[in-house]
Amino acid sequence: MSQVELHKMKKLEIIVKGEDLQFVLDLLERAGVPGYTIIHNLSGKGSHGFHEGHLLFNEEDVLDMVVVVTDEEKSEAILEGLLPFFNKHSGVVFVSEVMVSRLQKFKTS
Amino acid sequence: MSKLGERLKIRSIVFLAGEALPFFWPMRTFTSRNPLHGLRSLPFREAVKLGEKYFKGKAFLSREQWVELLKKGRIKEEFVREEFEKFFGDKELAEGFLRFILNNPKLSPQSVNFVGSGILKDFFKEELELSRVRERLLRILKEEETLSEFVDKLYGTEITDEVNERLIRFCAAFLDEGQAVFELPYREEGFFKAWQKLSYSKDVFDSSEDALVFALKELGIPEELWEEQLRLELFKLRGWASFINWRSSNKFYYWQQIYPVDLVDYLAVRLLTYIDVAKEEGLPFTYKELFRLVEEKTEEVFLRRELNTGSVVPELVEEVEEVLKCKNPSEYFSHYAEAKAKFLSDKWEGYLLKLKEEGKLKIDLPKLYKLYRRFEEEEGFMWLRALERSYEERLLKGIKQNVDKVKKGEVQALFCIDVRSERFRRNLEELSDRYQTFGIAGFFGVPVSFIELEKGHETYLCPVIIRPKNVVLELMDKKLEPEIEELHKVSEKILKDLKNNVLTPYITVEAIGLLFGFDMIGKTFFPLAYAKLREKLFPKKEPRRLLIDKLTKEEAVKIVETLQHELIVFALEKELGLKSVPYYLIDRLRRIALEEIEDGETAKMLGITEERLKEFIHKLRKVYKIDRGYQQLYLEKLAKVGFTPHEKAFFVENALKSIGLTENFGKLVLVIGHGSTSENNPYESALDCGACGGDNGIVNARVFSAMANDKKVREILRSRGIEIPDYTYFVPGLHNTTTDEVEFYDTEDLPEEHKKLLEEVKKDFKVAGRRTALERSKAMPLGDCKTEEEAEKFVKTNSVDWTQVRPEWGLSGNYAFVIGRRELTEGLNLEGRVFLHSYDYRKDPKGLLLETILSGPMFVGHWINMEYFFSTTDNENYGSGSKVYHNVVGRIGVMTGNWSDLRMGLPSQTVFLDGKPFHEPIRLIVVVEAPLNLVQLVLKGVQVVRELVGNQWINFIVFDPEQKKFFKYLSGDWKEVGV
Repeated sequence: MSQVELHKMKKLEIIVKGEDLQFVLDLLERAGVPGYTIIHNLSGKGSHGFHEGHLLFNEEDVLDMVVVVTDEEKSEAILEGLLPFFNKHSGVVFVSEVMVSRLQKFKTS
Repeated sequence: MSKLGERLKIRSIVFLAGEALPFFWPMRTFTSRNPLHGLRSLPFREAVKLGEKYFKGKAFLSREQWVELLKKGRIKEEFVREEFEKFFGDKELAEGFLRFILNNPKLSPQSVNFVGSGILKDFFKEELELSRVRERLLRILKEEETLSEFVDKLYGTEITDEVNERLIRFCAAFLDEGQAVFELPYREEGFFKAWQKLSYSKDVFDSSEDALVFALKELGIPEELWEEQLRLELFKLRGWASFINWRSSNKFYYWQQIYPVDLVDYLAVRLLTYIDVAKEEGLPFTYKELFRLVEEKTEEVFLRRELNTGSVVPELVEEVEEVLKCKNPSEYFSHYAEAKAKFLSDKWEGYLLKLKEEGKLKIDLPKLYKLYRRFEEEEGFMWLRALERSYEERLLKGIKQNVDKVKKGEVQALFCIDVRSERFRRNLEELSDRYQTFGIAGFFGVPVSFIELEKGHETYLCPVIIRPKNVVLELMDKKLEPEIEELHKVSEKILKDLKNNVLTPYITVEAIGLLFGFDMIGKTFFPLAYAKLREKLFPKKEPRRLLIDKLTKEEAVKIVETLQHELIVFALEKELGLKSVPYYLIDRLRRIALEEIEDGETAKMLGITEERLKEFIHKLRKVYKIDRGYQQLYLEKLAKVGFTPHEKAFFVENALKSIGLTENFGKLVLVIGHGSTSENNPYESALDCGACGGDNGIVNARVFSAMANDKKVREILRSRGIEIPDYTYFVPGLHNTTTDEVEFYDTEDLPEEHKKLLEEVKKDFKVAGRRTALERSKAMPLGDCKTEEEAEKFVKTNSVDWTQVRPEWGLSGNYAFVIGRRELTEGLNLEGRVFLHSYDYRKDPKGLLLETILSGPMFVGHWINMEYFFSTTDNENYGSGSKVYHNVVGRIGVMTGNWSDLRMGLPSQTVFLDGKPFHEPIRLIVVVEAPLNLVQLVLKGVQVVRELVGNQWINFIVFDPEQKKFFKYLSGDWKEVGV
């Protein structure tokens, strides 16, 4: 069996209201993370899809989660950036240790 | 903390500071919104208080104006008395106060001159006690004034104005969209970097975040105050700040892409400018210094402010000036405090004695003073509630009479919920029983991204809170040509004409890009030259055809191929000077660029070197965007064109169900959007259809009608339980709200019988239109028309007169939103002031349609209502002042005079008549016809509406048709309302 080399990174799971998603993504862009994953419509509302027309006016009334994996330094900076925001807005951040292979995908020059 | 962390943190803080800024939309799509939208999660009461702080805006009319409304009969005196009685808990007090107010509406303590006994001195002395003064000054320094304002009030300087002017000039220059003759250099580097280069000729700071943090630290502002201080700074030029906020959240806006700006940039420039300007004055200007001054030289600070804010006791002006010159304010202070206390005491004593006498009150003066101050806080709310209750009563009484009505009609007519439809609908119904009218949001439930031939970019025709997912294209003419050939012709035409223009290849490609200027990666493309060109290519004639069907994959591929083909022809001539290249070679080049084949012998075939071919291919990919990535993008964009039959059926079903029109269809169903016409009116958009994003509703009407007439759609609807008979035809129309004319479209394919019927309908509509115009003209200045003919001429003139500052009253006067069957309001003269949305609860067992109506159209109605409300209570601070002084800035907005903040809100002419309020500020009275428990269920699921109701931004009333009772939401509970 071949050995896969794993590296330690930090994973941030940021859950915010739909209307605040853009702010979070903007912050991540400025932090210079190479990528992130967005999971939409956590609340169960709005997951009715097309046929019920719920989403018609309530696009902001859902929860989204952004998952980003990055190094310790960046993740700390991101948390510092999010702190004032979460003082006034609902949402949470979970920080966990995670291992990744293909380190180059998670680092920027 | 790392550098990055610090930068991200300041971004976060600026974001929070900017949240209270009102939304901004460029003038060309003016949309009404609640100026206090950023504060909507607060109760109305708290929000307006903050509004006073940030906007310096009043939320209530003056006492004089309230009394006038009462004297005009708009407010029932009984309700005012009730409100007063509730407040005082005492009939005599209430009566006394009321009598005094009615007799002296203009009187205030400030306007009284009286020499009194000093009986109220103690109250004021308490306030003027040194430690209290210090406390107050500290609070002002920390959270009520910017540093520049504080300094100005301290030393009589004009630093704030100077900073404002410099910022305005720079903003106007930087944010210019192609109008300016002289272009600001360095714009591509961003707002802050450009300013930095121009001010310091070098890069002092690496980023605007660094600069802003530096400035805040330099000014010694403690970190916990950063957010509030930055917010105060933003509000000094809230128009420009709001615009910058809008720009930074629209990353794909063309101008934002090339010349980026955001609030951090703006604040960095602002604070550094303040530091520069203040340093020149040579006075204390940092937070640290000012804090010290307040702590250690409280008396001096106080006295200086008294002078500079005009609060000083008039007789003591010279004395105070002397004291400040001689620098012994601390000794003088207690003497001044005593004098001021007496001064204020005298004014109040004079005022309250009058109140006591005329009101026949038996209460001693100190008690009366305390009571009056409490009363002052509450007064505005009391009048407001009395006004609202007066309107509620009138409306509910009318509705109660109609509770048992049921109506059917030969011809159904769908109008927008806009208040202006009410007059027309009423006149039409009175004219003939054959018409059954319905109210629905003017986009008919179909959000559309529309690409008009002349415009070449996407316009969202739907309420601003939604993003449409389908694109509708306008095609050249109504001949039945296969779409592909037509699109092919168009692209050819564009390219031919562009060749003779000085546009660069970049613009050319973008311009043609995706045939009709689809937003590339979602951006709006707006260069003036290109827009002008398109207008020349497609002069407006008669209405064109709309493409609302989906393209097949083959069609889409063919379109993209055609486009690429044309581009290569263009490129061959421009780059290589080659003309008339055979088709097969062009195709080869295309496929090489797309990496589908190798280039092989192509260079030889073209008669050029391999080098040049490589170069050329490279150009095709980079400049002309013929590559795999863009190919995919184009196809994705084209996939958004049109609707599938199921999508069409979905929209039609939803719309019809939401208004309760699912059976008994007549021969004609008229689908009538609305728009207005005026000349020389930057606010034109405000008079158009809000539900269509500030545009005219005809496109949505045509799209909806086409969908509803589609045979396949009707099949699907049938399978879902809605049977539209074959003899029913949907016909789109446009109601011009300035002239009350209605024009019908797409009528060529109607059968003879229907055409005849339509002719009769047109006659009826003409009569109804004239009656409506006559009604409306009575409310307009110079509109005293005696006959319908006169009225018709009058309104037509208004629409084309470019000096007319008030082409129509628009939505002025709006006060209520009724959701229910038309029968409830039929026959009631609502004076064109009520939004009417048809709704049949029996067709909505789960309440989903009601949820849609409340969170969509009703929400937009609330925004409109709030815009008019605040623009009336304080036109200078919440509205945009007089139109007469407006100067249009590019296509963004208006300023007052030559250099001012960007104005937001409505101009005075929209809400005032001869200096008096024409619009009456009333929080929207929403009436819903549905069982109470259904409404409660729906509210549970819609937070935005629940918030509005709970925080008292709207008055929410339910008419339960099963219990036949009215319920109002009051202080957390549903209370039955007797009518």
